Amino acid sequence: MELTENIEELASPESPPVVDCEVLEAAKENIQPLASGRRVTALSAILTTPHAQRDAQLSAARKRHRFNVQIALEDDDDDPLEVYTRFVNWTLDNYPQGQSAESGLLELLEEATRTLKDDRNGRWKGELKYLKLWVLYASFVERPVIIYKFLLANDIGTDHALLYEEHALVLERDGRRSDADAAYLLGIARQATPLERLQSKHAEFQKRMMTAATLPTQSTSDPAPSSSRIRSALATSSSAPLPT
Amino acid sequence: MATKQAATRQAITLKGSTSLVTEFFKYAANTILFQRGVYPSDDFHMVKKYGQTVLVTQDLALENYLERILAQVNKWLLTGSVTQLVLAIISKESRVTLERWVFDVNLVDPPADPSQPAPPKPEAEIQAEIRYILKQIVSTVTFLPIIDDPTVFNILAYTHDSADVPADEWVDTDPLAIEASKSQQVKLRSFSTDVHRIEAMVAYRYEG
Amino acid sequence: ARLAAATGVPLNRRVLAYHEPPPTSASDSTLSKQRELARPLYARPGALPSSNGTATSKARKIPTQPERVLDAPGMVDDFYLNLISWSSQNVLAVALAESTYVWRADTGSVSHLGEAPQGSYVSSVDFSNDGAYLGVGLGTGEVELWDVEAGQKLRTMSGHQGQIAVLSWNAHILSSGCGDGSIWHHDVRVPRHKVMELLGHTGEVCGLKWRADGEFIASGGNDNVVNIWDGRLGEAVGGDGPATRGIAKWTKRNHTAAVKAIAWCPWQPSLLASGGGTNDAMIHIWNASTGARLHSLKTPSQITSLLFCPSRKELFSTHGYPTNAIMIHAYPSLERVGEIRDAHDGRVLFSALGPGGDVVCTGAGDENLKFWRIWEAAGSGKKGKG
Repeated sequence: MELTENIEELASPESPPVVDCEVLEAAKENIQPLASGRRVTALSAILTTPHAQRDAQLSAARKRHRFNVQIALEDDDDDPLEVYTRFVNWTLDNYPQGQSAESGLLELLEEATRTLKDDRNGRWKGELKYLKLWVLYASFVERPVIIYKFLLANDIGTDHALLYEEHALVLERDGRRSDADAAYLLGIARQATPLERLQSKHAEFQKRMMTAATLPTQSTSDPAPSSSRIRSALATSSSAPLPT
Repeated sequence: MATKQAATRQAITLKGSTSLVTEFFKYAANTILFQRGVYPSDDFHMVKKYGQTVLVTQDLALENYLERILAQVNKWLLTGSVTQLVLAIISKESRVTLERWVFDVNLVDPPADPSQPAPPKPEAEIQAEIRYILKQIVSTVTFLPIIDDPTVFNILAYTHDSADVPADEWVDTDPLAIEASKSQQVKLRSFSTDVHRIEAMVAYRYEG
Repeated sequence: ARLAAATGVPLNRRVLAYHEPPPTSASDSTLSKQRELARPLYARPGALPSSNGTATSKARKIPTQPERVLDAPGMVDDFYLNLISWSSQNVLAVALAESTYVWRADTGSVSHLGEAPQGSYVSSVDFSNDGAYLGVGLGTGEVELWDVEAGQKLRTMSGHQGQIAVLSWNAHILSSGCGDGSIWHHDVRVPRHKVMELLGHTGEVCGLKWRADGEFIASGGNDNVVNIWDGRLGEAVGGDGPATRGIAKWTKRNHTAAVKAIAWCPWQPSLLASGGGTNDAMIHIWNASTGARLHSLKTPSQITSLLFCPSRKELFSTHGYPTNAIMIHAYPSLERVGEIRDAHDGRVLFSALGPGGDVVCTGAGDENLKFWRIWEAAGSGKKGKG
C-alpha cells in the first residue's frame, strides 16, 4: 500500500489532480455542457472559490489577459491569436454558465474575431485556431448562417474541413438541405483538410437526408440591440424595444 | 460453536454482498453504455431498480455478453481476487481510449471480534448509496466531451497474480490507459456493503 | 489505485479482458444517426435554429417582444437562486447581488429595500400572500423578514447552515429551502421561529412551493428529487421541545437533473408541475393526492421555472441553454401553444406572474427583467380555446 502511495506522489506532477464529483454535482445546473468537454481541474478551482473572493480573483485575471492582448497586438513578434485564444479559453473555464453579462464572452469573441481579421495583413485568416474563434462566436449569434457566409466571402478558414462541416450543420438545422449539401461539396472540391473526415460527414448527412427527418423550419427575427451605458437598478431600458 | 456460526454468517454475508456488487456493475455498465452513446438509445429500455428508473439494454447479444463477464467477476469477488474493474470506451476508428470508468474493489475491515459482528448495513442505505453513484454517472455529461464518432467498449478486470483465470476466456491485455498529460480525472461516490467497498471514478481524454 | 486509474500500470496484478469483443448493435444505424442529430444542441456549436413563434396547430399569436424591459445590473446568473417575486399588491421584488429592490408596477417607482450583511448576498426572495412582508434568504443561511411598506427589516431568523436558495409563504409560515438539503418552516410571529423541519433531499433545495390552501408543500432539489409533503405542522408547534420533523408523502425520482421549477395548478388543486434541469428538461405533471404521474413532456432545454395560467388551461415555462426560451403549453395535451426563443440574451432563470394573471416577468443572466403579456387579463371576456 505504501509503495502505491509513493509512486502516486511521484506521478502527480504529470497527471492532473483528481477532482471530486461532489463539487461539480453541486453546481451542475450552472455548468453549460460543451462539445469539447470541460477541464474539470479549472472548473473545480472556480467552483470551490468562495463567492466573495470570486469576483476579485476573476477581475484580476481578466486584467492580466487584457494586458497580454494589448502587448501582443503591439509587438510584431508576438502572437495575438494565441493570446486571444487563451483569453477565450480562460473565459470558458471560469464562467461555466456560459454567455452572460458577467462573462462578456460574446463581446470578447466579437472583438477577437474582428481585431484579428486584418491584423498583420490578415495572416491569421488561414489558421485553424482563428476559425475556431469564429465557430464559437457563431454559436452565440441568432443567425450563424450569416457568419459562415462572411467567412467564405473573406477567405477565412477556407482550407479547413471544420468550416464546411459547421456551415452545413447550421444549414441542415435550418432545413436548408440542398444548401447544406452544397456546403459539403464545396469543401470537398476545395480539398479542405482533413478531407476524409469531411467526406464521411457528408456521407452521414446524405444518409440522414434519405431517411428524411422533419426538421425545424427557419424563421426571421432580430435580436434586440444591446446597449452600453451606465445602468441603474430597474431603470427602464425600453418599454417597446425596436427591432434593428 | 460460536465461531462456526460466525463463519457461516460471514459466508452468507459474502455471498450476499458479492451479488449486490455484481448487480451494481451490471446497472453501472448499462448506465454508462447508454449515457455515453456507445449503443443507440433505442437498444435500451427502462426498468425500476434501486427505487428509480434505470436504462438497461434489451439487445440480447449485449445482455448475454455482459452476463458472461459478470459471472466471472462474481467468482473473483467471492475469492477476493479482483481488485478493480474498468469499463473503457474506445474510438472505433483510431482505437484511442476516450474514457475509463474505474471501479476499485476494496474489502471492508472485518470486525475485531468475529463473534460480535456489527449489525448488518440496511439494504435501503446501500441502495441510496448506489443511487447516488448512478446519479453522478448521469451528471458527468455536464463536463465530459461529446463523443461524436462511433465507439466500442472493453471491460478490464484487474486481478491478483494468484487469481483463478479460465484461460481460454480471459486474456492478459493492455490497460488501455489515457496519457496522464491528456487525462482529467473525477472521483465519484463510493458505496459499501458489509464486505465490499466500491469506489468509482472516471478518467477522460481532454485536449481542450 | 489512483495511479493505476490514471496510467493503468498494475502492481502485482494482472489486467485481463474477456476474449471476445462486445457485440455491435443490431439496431439500424441510420436510426441512431437520426438520434445523433436530435441530440441537445449545446453539443454542437453554431447549430441552433432560431425560431420565434410556433409550429403546432394549437399555436396562437403571442407577443414576441416584451412590453417592458427593466435593467437589472448585477443579477446573479445562478440557476439555483430565486431572485424575483411579484406580490398581490402589484409590487415586484428583485434581488441584485447584495441588494434588494422593490418596483411598484402601478407607479413605476423604484426603491432600495435593503442590503445583505457584509460578505453575504441575497439568494432568494418571496412575498407573503398579502404582499405586506418580504422574506429574504441569504447566502449565509439567514432568513430575513421585511415590512415592505415601511421598508424595514423586522427580524432575522438564523440557524440554517447553507445558502437559502428558495422561500415560500403560507399565512404566517415562511418556509426555506437550504443548500444542505433541509427545509424549515419558520413561524414568523414567535421567537422560536423554527417550528418544523423537512428532511428529504440529499442536495440543495432550489424549488419550493406551498399549495394555496396550505394542505401541501412541494419541493425540488439538486438531488433530482421531487418531494410532496403534508402541509400540516407537527404537534410540537409553539412548545419548548425541538421542532418536529415531517416525512415526505411522495418522493419522485423521475427527473434526471435538478428540480427548481415547481408549480401548483390554481384551477385543479391536485395538479403539481415539476421541471428538470439541463440533463432532463422534462416537465412532469403529478396528482398530489394519489402520487400518480399524469403527463410528461420533453422540452428542448433546461427548465428554470414553471407557472400555471390562472384563467386558461395553460402552463408557462422558462428555459436556460440552449434555447433561452419562454414557452407556453396547453393542458392536458401539453401541446406547444407558443415559444419565444432567445427571450433573453442569456439563460432565462426566474419568472413571476403579476397579480392580474396576464403579465409574466422574467429575469436572466443578461441582467434584464422583461415583462411579457402572455395572457389576457382574467375576466376580460375573450375566451380562448383549450
